[in-house]
Amino acid sequence: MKTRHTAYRILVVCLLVLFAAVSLIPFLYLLVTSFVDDMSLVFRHGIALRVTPDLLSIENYRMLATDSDGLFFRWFGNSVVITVSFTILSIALSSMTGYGVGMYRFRGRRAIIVLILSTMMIPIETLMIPLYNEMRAFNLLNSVAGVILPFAVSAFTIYFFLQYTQSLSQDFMDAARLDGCGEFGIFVRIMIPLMKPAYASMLILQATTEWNDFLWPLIVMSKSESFTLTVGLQTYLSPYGNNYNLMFAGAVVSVVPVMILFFLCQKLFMEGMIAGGIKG
Amino acid sequence: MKKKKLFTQKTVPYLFCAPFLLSFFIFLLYPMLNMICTSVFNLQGVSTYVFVGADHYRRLLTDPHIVSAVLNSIGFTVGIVVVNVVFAMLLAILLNNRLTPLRNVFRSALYIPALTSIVVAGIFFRLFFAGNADTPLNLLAGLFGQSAREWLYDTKLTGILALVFTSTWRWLGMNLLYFLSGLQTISPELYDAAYVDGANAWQKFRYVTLPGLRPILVFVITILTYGGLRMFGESYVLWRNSNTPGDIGLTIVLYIYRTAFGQFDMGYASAMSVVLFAFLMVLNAVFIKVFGIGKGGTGR
Repeated sequence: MKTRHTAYRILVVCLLVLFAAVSLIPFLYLLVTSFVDDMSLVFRHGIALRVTPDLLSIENYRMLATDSDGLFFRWFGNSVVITVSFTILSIALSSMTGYGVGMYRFRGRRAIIVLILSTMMIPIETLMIPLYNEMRAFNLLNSVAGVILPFAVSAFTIYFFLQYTQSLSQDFMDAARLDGCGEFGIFVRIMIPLMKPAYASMLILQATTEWNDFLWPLIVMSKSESFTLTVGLQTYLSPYGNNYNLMFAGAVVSVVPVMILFFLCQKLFMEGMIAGGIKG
Repeated sequence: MKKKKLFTQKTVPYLFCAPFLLSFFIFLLYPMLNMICTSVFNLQGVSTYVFVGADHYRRLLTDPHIVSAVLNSIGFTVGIVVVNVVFAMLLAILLNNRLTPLRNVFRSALYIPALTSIVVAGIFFRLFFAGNADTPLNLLAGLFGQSAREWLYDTKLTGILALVFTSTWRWLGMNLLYFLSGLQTISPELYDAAYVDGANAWQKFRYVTLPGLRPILVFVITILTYGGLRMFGESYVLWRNSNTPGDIGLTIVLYIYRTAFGQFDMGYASAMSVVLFAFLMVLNAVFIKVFGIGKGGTGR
């Protein structure tokens, strides 16, 4: 038995190390290459480039900071503003609906659940044209509101919270009502604290999704000073010439904030996703 | 005197649901109807719309790009579902086993790619699939006696494989978490019972794990199918938004995007969106009927 366990362990670790390597090597490559000043070498050798210490410098990052009067910082700022406001709005509104549908019995509840489930599967991609026209009519093109409003209430997030409320007890609500607590008060003061792991999971998921979102900001933001990071980075590659120096350095900088967020909330996130999460 | 409350147990649920309903009408129902209207008009000049009836829909039937785009999207979807389900389930089972060392470390390591944007992933994978002879992929091909090739511009199939690989790199971690969460719902007693009955590892998987994972399996397959059919970013970044020979890597949504925002042919692009939308709604109905998705969430 003992030897079988050891054999299993060795085999599994080899397999997992392989997958972890595939997951992490691209980051390592981007990080190292972002310090290579001479991009013609990168062009010639691609990912087979053998980096030696004498190739390294921080020149790319200096270029990134000074390019077009710090345009990169504008993009970074736009991404921060959009991600923070979207995440807060989305989690607040979606958890409200998920909680309301999950914890109350009322007329029309079934109909709303059916609506939530069927909209969960409607890809925004099919609606990008009418939504673009709508945003233009509202004069919201090139604005933060234009990027965040259409998708702030997410059926997926609602569904996640709806599932999570199944672990909450109605008894808490009855007890609070006896104590004279209002219905909204029950939500804010009792249920939100109980749903903390769900909030942590959705915080990370929504924040990273929004930070990395590409198609919708690409459509809404057409002025270079209102780009988000993903849209801006992509413009370093253009038919008029590629700027790999800026692209590599910018890519590394753009990954750092989500990494920090992830490592800060990692434990709560994993717990919320794995223990509370989607049950199908 | 008791203060009369505005929100009682009867009225407050409607307040809670208000954000969803508002968003549904403004950002879903209205745009949808609007899109159906746009699809039978043609924009001429700056803002003159001419009624063209079903012309756009007729054009759909004879457009060769549509065939390529649909084939690419379907090929990609099949690939992504198979690869992600098999590997995510396998890894989840390994990472759920108490005998596996460093479970938390591996869990995080495998999830980290999910934190990147497709733009960042694209920078790496464009170079990864490049044509120089000394890339790992071409070295591997050399071992099998194949000559080095530009994987992104070789054939439609290599294009799809590149898309599947790039997406899986980013999506596997998330699906892994879904399966891990599904594994928590299987009662350990079932495994004990299987052990008592003398079941081997394969029998335990076949008769305990797999049936227990069924709801999450359905969920993951659903998500991946929709994710596959709507895929845009991978294709956009790998081929830099340029036309490829033989429409390699062109997907449905990318074609719609180019038609709408590249050629500003909003009417035709809307017609394509309407068809895609209708198709996905039918698929949705089939999934709900066959798999009974969402039954778990509506109980109580």
